[in-house]
Amino acid sequence: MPGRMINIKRRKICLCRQVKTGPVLPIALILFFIVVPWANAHGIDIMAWVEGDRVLTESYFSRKIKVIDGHIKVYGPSGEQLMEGKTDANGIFSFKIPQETDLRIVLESAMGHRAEYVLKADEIMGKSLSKIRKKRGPGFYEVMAGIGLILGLMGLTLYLRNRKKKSATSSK
Amino acid sequence: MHISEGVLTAQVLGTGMALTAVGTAIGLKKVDYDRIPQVAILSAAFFVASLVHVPIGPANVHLILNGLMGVFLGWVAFPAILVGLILQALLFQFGGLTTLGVNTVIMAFPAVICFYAFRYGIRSRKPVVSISFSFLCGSGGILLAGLLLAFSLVFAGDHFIGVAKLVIIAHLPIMVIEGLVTAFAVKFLKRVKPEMLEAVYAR
Repeated sequence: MPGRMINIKRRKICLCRQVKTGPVLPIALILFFIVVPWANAHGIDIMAWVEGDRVLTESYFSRKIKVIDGHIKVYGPSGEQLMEGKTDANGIFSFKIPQETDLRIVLESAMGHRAEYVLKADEIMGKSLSKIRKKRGPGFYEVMAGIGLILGLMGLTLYLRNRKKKSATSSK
Repeated sequence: MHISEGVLTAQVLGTGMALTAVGTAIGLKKVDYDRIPQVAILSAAFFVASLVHVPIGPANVHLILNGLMGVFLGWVAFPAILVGLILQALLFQFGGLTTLGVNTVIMAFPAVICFYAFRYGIRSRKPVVSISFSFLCGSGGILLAGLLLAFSLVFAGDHFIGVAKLVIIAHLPIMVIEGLVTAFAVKFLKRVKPEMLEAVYAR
């Protein structure tokens, strides 16, 4: 029995040594982190748009969970606070347009989550349509998903190969 | 260089798929299992490179790295580029699933051609020869890809010369950058891990 154990151990060491990536991996990683802009990590977001003479804001955590009782403060262009309020059960907070300038709307929720949205004066005066923020190209998650899938494919290939090798050696 | 859905005729799409199937089969046959990690890393680099936009010149174009893949992978560039393109189509909406075959041929075939055309020069012991051939391989991959792109658009009713000119002029900065990237990569690996280059040519 002890002899067998040693055999298994030895084989394991061999398998590890077969795969060599050399310096390519660290180089690829460094390149990757230079290239990919950092993701928005707080996972809370606020959106604002104009409807008639009111500004509507919607606050949500990542994806679709509404922020209830989130604390919202509205600031003018020079940083003075114009308005304050809380989001309702649907994550909505609306207020009458206080002045026709850029408005900085800041959302603060429990546990230090914070997000802000700047509503441009153009949008308030109706010169440009309020737009739903469009996704600008692929983000952090898409890139990570792709790299993960490629590495997963690599792992799968190597696993299948090793299993084939194992069954070949055990049938001998 | 990614052709979108609905541009090409069915015949071109079908031909592209068939050629990709053949190229991928040859590539998979040639791949050595010990080099799978290297193939995966290069495939990942190809996948990410399309996000590196170069705002020089008339059009906003991005890196492709097919010449570089040719140097290190040869025929194996086919499966590596195919995987990268599938993920780009699914995750980035670059190109499309029906044009996968054509796009793979456009990018992977130049890689193979450059591999065979420049391999002896790249392996040369003289650094000047090796570096200049690597540069040619990196930029030649883009040039040939541009020509193939224009050729596949001819069947959709475009003029070959017109499209080719447009694509190649837009990609001139990319050709220079990828030539330099390839030259540096070869120079670096020759110094640090020469057996990696030799492994490609062993088969």
